[in-house]
Amino acid sequence: MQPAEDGSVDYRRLLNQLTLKAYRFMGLANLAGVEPVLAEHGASPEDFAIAALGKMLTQQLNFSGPPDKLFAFLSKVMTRDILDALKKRGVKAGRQGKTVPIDDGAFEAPDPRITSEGLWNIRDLLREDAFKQKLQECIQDDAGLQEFVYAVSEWDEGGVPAPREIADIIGVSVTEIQNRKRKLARRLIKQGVQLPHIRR
Amino acid sequence: MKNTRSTKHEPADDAQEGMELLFGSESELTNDELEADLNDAGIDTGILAKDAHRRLLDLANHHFSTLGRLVPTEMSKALGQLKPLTPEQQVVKTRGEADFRVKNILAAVKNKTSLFVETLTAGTIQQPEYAFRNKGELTESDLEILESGKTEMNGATSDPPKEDSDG
Repeated sequence: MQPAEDGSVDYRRLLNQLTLKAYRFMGLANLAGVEPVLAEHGASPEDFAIAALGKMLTQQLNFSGPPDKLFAFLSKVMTRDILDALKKRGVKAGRQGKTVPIDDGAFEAPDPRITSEGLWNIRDLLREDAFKQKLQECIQDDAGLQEFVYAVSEWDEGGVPAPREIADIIGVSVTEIQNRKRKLARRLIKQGVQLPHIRR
Repeated sequence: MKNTRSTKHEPADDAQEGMELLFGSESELTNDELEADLNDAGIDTGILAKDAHRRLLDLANHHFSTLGRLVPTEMSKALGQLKPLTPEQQVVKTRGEADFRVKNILAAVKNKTSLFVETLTAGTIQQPEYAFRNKGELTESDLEILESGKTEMNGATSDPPKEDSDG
């Protein structure tokens, strides 16, 4: 997150970043179908973003780093909340047959049996047949996106490659890589590509 | 309550890494790009901020105000930044944005016009030095005219008009 000009936190920008992150994550996983609302739970990306921000501002979470690290910190908290809610929703929805609010302690005791630990490793996922097939269907009319996805899936080194590294492999500008990432995000979410093995 | 979460690698890290791998980090996006992507997702950023302000205000009241505790500085800042504009402020903001856009358009027009004038002037107005510097390029007849003019001027300065002696 970029801090405001005076070095303080730009909360409006932070809120937008968190919401987009939640939307992309939930959309990618196709947890909510086309509508970005967590089925059987009632929480939207906006709910998760505001809840994460609220935890920090009510001092339930202690953050003491520089403002430019706050987004990374809160997005991890929020991602964990979404994953925990997913684990919870199967149990609660099955038992009660209704939606549950996100602020009533639903994140306290996630059930580790619901989601497998390795599920969210996207690098492995990119090599998973069902996911690859849906991905290909989604980008089959766009050579630029195919090129980008291929470069990313063939990235063997650890960690996330910098846009410059992918740009060098493909031979395009960094701006072009950023544009392709945004385009891919919009397409995958709209077309509802889903992660495999999610227990519903 | 302090954050007691551990720092070990966990599914949330994998998810974050995977998201960055495919989509990049949201921190790399400009405010306009963020807004465009959210709008594309059907999320109005104005309504989002308004909703966030309402819920954070509830939290501030619940955790601090009603307990007689001071609202933390960062909470106050966040509430201040996310507070929806009053109709009057909205009018002022819209007017300011319109002024800014008009000024930008005018500046762009002025810039283009001055460039055009510069190009025009450089091509059409001859510099006086040019004639002197390129005297050698004058034709024979030009030189004759110049020479005769020069003689005429010299004659005019060396032979003052005669005064009437009968005066």
